[in-house]
Amino acid sequence: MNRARLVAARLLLGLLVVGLPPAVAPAWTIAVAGFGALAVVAAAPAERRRYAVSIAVGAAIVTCAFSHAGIPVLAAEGMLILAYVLVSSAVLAVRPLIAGVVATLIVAGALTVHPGASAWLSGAGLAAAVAAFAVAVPMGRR
Amino acid sequence: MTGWRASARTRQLATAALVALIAAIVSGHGGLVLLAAAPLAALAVLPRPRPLELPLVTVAVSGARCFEGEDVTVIATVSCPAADTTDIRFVPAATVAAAEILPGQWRINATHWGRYSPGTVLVSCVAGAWQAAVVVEAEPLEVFPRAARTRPRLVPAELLRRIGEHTGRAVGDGVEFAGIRPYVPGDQLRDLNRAVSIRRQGRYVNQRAASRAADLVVVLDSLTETGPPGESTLDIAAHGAAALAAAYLRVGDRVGVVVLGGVLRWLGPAPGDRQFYRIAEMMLRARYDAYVDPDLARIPRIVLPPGALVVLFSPLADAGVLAAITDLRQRRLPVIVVDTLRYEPGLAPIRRGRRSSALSPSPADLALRVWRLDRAATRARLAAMGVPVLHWGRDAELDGVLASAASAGRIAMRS
Repeated sequence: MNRARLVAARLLLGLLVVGLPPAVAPAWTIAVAGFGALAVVAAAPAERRRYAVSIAVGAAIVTCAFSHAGIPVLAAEGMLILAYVLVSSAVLAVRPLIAGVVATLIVAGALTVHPGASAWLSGAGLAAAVAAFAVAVPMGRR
Repeated sequence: MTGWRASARTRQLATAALVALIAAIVSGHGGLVLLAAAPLAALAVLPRPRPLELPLVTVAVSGARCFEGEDVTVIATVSCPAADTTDIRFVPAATVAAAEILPGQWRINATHWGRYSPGTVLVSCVAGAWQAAVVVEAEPLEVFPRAARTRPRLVPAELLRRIGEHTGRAVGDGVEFAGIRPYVPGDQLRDLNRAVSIRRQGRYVNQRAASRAADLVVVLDSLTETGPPGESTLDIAAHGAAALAAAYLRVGDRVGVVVLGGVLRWLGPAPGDRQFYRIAEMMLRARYDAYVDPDLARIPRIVLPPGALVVLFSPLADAGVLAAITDLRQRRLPVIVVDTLRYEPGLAPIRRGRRSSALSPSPADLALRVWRLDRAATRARLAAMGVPVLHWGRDAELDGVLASAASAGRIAMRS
């Protein structure tokens, strides 16, 4: 992928990431989304502005937290976030993308079947997520 | 060089997952876990073993020496078998213009003389969830000042008794016409001037001027450096010295150099192209030394041979230089001073003849006036010693500047 296409893909995906949640959120979240859009624009041309990607993703998640988005929208938003992060690192890896799709489908299915009826189930799911995080993230230097 | 650490992609995915999980907990909105699911799954499938070997980066420069304005190629080679992607960037030095010609290859153009590294190569290797960054500075490059085209017309009135290219006062076997005299036995027939011989009813022969060589010693004042980058007094001095050295060496003269300032350095006069590079190398070291007082008494006599023409490039801003000029004159050497100061204090270009419009000048104006008077007094003192001081303006050629020095009796201008 040449540089122009890469920048265009970053811009498109980033604006989708920050632009999708305000559609189902209160009007004031547009300000947060606008801040995220600025971060997207700042991160698009330069690989060194990695922090801007995290800021854009964080703004999108905060907007989602205050929205009334349903499971399909959140699932799509999660996939967009994954694609945006992968494109921002200039490596469009297929395996993480497939794994993300599978995980999103599993979690979406679980949420659809059991819509948060049990606090124990929610706790178990949260513990599983934390464990997955601890296993997945490389911890420091050996 | 940094070791392997979590890559930016890993950190971004982890941050996204963490923020989504925290948002889910704080807001009690279980659906937000969906935002964390995809990044966590992607993290889980990234290759996690940390590579054992760090990237090996070698940076090569196509040449260790060049002249100002010449192109040099920088080639970076990266060896990292474990890397998925390798990003190589070149950060050029401030005095270098760089353009990438191929991945890992850059053509650089050194725009300023000196000895400096042309830039830094930044390599970032990503292997799975890991990333390593390596910073390698390119080897220093010796950039010689470009010598402007100058003619070696200025020579001492008394030339050396050595065959060269300059027309001497003495009669010899050169090519320039010097006069006519009556024929004496032993003269060559080809020297016979037929027209004069017929007119005067006798035999007359042409005399030719002897071709002599000259010794030139270029003195650089690096005690004071002022002016904008690229046009500082030392830059001007180096360019002038390079131009003169190249011009005189081209016609077979001997050229030496003395660098005042820092550690006092000198190079005895010698002929040949090789001497130019030795002079240029010495000038490269003029800028980076500590300060000591110039003491010309420490210079061996062979560096300043009798009869050598001394051209001193100086902003005349240091008292030590004036003492050095006095010492040179006491050795009965013909000295020319080229004033390399083009900017007055405050970096305003010098405008000769400008009058102050204010009736009550400010202290800054008064200080500037005093400074100008002090410089005028210095010039007058040097002129009284028989040392012409030539101002080298921004748009002037060195040839034209030196042409005005021939009015002094100790220096001759030859065509």
